Amino acid sequence: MGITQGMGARVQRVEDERYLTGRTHFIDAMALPRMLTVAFVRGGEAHARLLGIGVQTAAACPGVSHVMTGEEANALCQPIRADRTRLGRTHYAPTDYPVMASGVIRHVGEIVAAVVADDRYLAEDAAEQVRVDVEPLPPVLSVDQALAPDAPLVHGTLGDNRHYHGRLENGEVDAAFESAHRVVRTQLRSNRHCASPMETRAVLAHLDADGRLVVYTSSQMPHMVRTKLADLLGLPERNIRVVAPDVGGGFGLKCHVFPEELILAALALKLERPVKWIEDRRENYMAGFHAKEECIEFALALGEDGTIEAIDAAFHADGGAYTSFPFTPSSEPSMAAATCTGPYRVRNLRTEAIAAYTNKSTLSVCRGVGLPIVNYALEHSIDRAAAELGLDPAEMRRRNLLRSEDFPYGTPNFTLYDSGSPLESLEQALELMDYENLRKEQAAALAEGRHLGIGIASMIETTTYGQDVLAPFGKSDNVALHESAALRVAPDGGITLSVGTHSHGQGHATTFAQLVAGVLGCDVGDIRFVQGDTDTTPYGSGTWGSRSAVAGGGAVLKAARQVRDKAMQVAAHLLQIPVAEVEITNDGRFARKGGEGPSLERGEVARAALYETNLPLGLDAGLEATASVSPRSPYTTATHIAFVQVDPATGKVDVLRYGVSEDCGPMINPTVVEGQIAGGVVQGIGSALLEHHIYDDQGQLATASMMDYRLPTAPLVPRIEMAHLETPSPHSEDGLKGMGEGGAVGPMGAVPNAVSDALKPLIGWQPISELPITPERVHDLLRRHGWRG
Amino acid sequence: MKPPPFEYCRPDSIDEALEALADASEDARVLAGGQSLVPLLNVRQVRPARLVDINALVAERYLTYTDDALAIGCLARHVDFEDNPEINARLPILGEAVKELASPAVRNRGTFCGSLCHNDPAAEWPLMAVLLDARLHVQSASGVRQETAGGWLADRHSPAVAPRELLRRVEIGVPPPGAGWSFTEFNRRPGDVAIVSAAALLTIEGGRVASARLALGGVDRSARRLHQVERLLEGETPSEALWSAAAGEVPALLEPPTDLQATAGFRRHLAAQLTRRVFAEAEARATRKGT
Ligand SMILES: Cc1cc2nc3c(=O)[nH]c(=O)nc-3n(C[C@H](O)[C@H](O)[C@H](O)COP(=O)(O)OP(=O)(O)OC[C@H]3O[C@@H](n4cnc5c(N)ncnc54)[C@H](O)[C@@H]3O)c2cc1C
Repeated sequence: MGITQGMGARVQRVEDERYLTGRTHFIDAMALPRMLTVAFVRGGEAHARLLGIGVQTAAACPGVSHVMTGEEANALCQPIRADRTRLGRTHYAPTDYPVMASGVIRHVGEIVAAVVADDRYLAEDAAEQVRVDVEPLPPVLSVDQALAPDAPLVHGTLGDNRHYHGRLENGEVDAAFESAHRVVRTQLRSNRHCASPMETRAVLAHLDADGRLVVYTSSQMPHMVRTKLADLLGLPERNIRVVAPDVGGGFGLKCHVFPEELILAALALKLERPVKWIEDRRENYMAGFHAKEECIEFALALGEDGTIEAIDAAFHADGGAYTSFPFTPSSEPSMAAATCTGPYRVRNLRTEAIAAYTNKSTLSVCRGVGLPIVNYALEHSIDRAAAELGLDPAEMRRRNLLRSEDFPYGTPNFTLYDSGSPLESLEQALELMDYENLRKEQAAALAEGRHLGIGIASMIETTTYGQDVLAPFGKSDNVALHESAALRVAPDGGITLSVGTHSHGQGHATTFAQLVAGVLGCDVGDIRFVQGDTDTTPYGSGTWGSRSAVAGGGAVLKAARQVRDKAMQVAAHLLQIPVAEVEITNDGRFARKGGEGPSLERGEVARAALYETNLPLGLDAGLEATASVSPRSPYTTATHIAFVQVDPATGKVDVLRYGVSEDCGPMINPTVVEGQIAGGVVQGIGSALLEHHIYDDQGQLATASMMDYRLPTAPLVPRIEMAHLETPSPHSEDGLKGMGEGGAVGPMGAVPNAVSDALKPLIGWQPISELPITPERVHDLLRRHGWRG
Repeated sequence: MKPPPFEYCRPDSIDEALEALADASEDARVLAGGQSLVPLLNVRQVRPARLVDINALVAERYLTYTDDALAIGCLARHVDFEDNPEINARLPILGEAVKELASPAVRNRGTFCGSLCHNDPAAEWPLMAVLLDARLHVQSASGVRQETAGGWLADRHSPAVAPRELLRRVEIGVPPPGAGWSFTEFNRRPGDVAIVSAAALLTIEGGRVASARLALGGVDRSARRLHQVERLLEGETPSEALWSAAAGEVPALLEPPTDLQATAGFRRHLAAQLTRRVFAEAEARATRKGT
């Protein structure tokens, strides 16, 4: 098969068999001799002074080996910190994030003690016996409250509750608003989302035969975890091995270094026994990080023809209790501000981004980071503008979208969009959904009393997050931006590929192998894919920010080409022809161009290289290469269209059809791309319609189970229709772009737009000012505008 | 999320089960499908001293019919009502309701009687039990007693079940032939417990409503009938206007809760909407007699 499994082939995912047959290695299924289990005691108050912890009763419970409190844990382990340089005038106030509450509890679910016992049942029995004495403090429960002048301080040592405050102004914003034909100013609130991976967090730590610390963790970034363990526990990094085995989803939650990982490591070192912690869903919802909750003010200055003259936007994020690492609560609003002109031609821009500390679980990154919020605010504003100007939403976009020939395009955010096809993607999406007919269907339904709505959302997706995007804000201080790949050929011609990225559903075992297959003319099945183990993979910061294809895949391509070049030299020598005459045939043999004469199998070439039997003069033995890529950020563009039905009597929204046109550059494997889009869209529909973490007025999390935190289920989502464009990036190996997050971005604009469109005949076009779009909110909106049914 | 310690027994006969319930030192509970009890145990919201697992009592898994009633054994599971031709012929409303009940995995284990004991205010089976005037046979070591669904459910605020008692069997009256029926529920996701649910039965004779029943779920501490509305309809001529009028009466009769799902006000609104819908659908299904 060879080249036929290379770039662009719909190769079936090689990892699916292990997942579908349950032959996986999730941490929950791992057991080591003498292993103990940990249950955490978590604070029950949103904000309280910690007066004392009584552990005697718990320590005496059956099967309990140890109870660790903050005093001990914080002596063994430094607090997590995410410092930054190069901040300019931006306000950035990170906190110490102690691994256990130190003096003050700052959110429900913060760790106050760890109980180590023979099993989780006994550990939980004992955990109930830990006495936590607290003096309640007034909680800060919203960003508005946090920023009010007389707000209680979440961190007393900081002057105010701001974690991050950045501003930007470029162009003549005030003048543009003054002279605008029309100004559309909208206030919006996005919901408090969380990643909800199927596998919650999990850690197993032990000491190996040499006394090295080994930490299995359900992480997207094993190397970063190793670095931080070394740093905060004071160990040489070479004496730590971190393994992220099979990981059941991450969505950005697991690209952080967590207190639980550090505590488990400290316990393994102290007790010299393996210790394991499997997070339950309640803990995951209380103490796993949250995402997205922001108050947004978004204003468009419009010309008479609908041209966007200026944007003035403010994003205030409800940042939760602590500064997480490496990504912090600043990521959400600062990324929103940095991308808020979307795929449109805009010259004048003012933004403000704030993340404020509150007494809730820390808010950090989740699939899309900032982009879903921008999509909601910007696309909803565009539809509102279209309605006010009497333009069709598609036409409104046509007048403002960038076209492929506009790239490279420098935004007023000082970002360089490398390439893309926003306008072409809009047209493709309209065709995919047969927009004209859809409008006719909508009109016909209305005549029968059914309310259908069409929502378009255009978008541009920052991918890979290279130096160009992260370095100017000092965000690269905490995270390696390059990625490496090591490729080794064995004497039988088989290939081992090891990478620093981590696939936890994305299908890298297939797509990365396809990249190698394309270069070396082998089958995907000839390649052993290795990831997740810091002992056997090159350093890298892992998988987040849609970076794996460009950074990791780029490194794979480079390494494969280095190996190919060397193999060509060896083959040329063996075949006694000039290197320029050698080619790799479709079935992976090394032969003279044109196919005449003798040819060699890859194994024959490898043996010659490894056994030094017949090497050209001056060529080192071996057939392997390690390569790295320090990427810049390519941009992916897309248009989403949602077609919904709204029942005005009950406020219920049903998504009837959903279409996506996406341009993520050359697709390594269209099936994998489509899987990513589909999964993302489902998550985005969940965000728009269902998901929301609710805290009560005491700061208790009311949605601490899947009964109350509602995820989208299969019957709620239609088949997702897709079409592709492929504009290569000029920046990356083979023009690759990232695309892992975009699916979750578009629904945040498309679904609210569709709902407003559906309600338009009843109450005129009204904004959906709060997510998720619950039936009751739709009902209230109708009532507020005088519709009684 | 692991339960606190408890004693566990799995008796082989009803007598042993009743004994095990009676002689427990403290709170003893029946473990049926476990689909409500086990989650509550895991979050340590209930702490029974003993669980009496009735799953070995396989003879109690039955649906049997007499002339005018269906008898449901305490081990009859939700799945037994699903795609069941006999149910669909005699009590199609149950076949309709079970479609909205949770997901297949839950339906495979959860029991009808367990659902009545758990008595979630918006659950399907309690709604059906009050609509269809179910009779409950409750047994304990000290004897047997009968209860009506309305009385039993109103008494028992979820999830309290009288300790040491077993709900052994439930009998449901089969509605008269020709009765129109309808069931509907409003929820955010298919399979979720309803925010509000409604069910109606209607017989029409001589162009007038001969009898009407209306049950609502999710609007009070347990599923309930709305006798006031029912009485209002009897003798009236069926029409959209009549159903709207009936629906209009509903909100004032309810004292629904406000929770994460919906406010009391929205529940009242939904209850009226669903009332109109179930009566209109029941009318369409009713066989008209003596016109
Ligand atoms: C994800 C999920 C979704 C669900 N969705 C729905 C839904 O949409 N609609 C719905 O109605 N239900 C739903 N349920 C609940 C489900 O229907 C349960 O099966 C039902 O509520 C209880 O029945 P059980 O047999 O599982 O009882 P158990 O969980 O075993 O017991 C429940 C309670 O009743 C007592 N009990 C049980 N049987 C008897 C008996 N014969 N005599 C005396 N006491 C008894 C127990 O002691 C316990 O207190 C859902 C459950 C889950 C996990």
